[in-house]
Amino acid sequence: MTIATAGPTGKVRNPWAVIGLSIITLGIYGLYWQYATFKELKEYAGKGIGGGLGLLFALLVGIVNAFLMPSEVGDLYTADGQQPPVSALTGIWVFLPFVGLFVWVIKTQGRLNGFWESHAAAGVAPAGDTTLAAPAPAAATVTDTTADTDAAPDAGTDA
Amino acid sequence: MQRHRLRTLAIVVAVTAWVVVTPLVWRDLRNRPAEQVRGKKWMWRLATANLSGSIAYLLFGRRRPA
Repeated sequence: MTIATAGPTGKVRNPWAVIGLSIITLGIYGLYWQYATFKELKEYAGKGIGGGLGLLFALLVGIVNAFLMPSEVGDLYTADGQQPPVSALTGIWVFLPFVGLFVWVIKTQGRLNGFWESHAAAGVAPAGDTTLAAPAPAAATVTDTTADTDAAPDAGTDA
Repeated sequence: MQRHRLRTLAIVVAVTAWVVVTPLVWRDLRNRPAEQVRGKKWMWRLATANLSGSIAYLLFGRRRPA
């Protein structure tokens, strides 16, 4: 799989802040977080459900996003030629009473942060990208070196 | 591509479940006497806009008639 376009990277968010703000705002920040995350994922990868649909799912069938968001995050890693540290299976965590949702946010947002941080330079093309034109190889080389160092500690797939 | 299809299927199933379950739950809420509902009806109406809220209502929100 390839990412058609490499848009701007998303915002790095502290998973604990996401949890805390969601609790304080009675879930409203959580809705915004899902909207923003799906929006950023689509802007970067050029595919995915996007912010609007992500928000709609969050409002009506929130369980879908529990699987969809880590799946899209995992796709970023896959398209970058790395082992995805999260996948749709990560969504199973939400069924764990009391702490499951926290674990899910920490895993999903944490891995997403790792990806954004390793691709922070604007316009860096993912290594797996075959659709970019001439400047792509140089950018892809840069991605390789940074991505390897960041991905090494968490290479395994979480479920 | 297989994963993409699976993802689409999961979304379709969940949305279909919402389309089927939500009106049923809302009808149940409308017709059920308040004393047979745990908590406030308006809170359940709000919560059951989401599928997980509907499941919670079906599992825990109803009292059996004495």
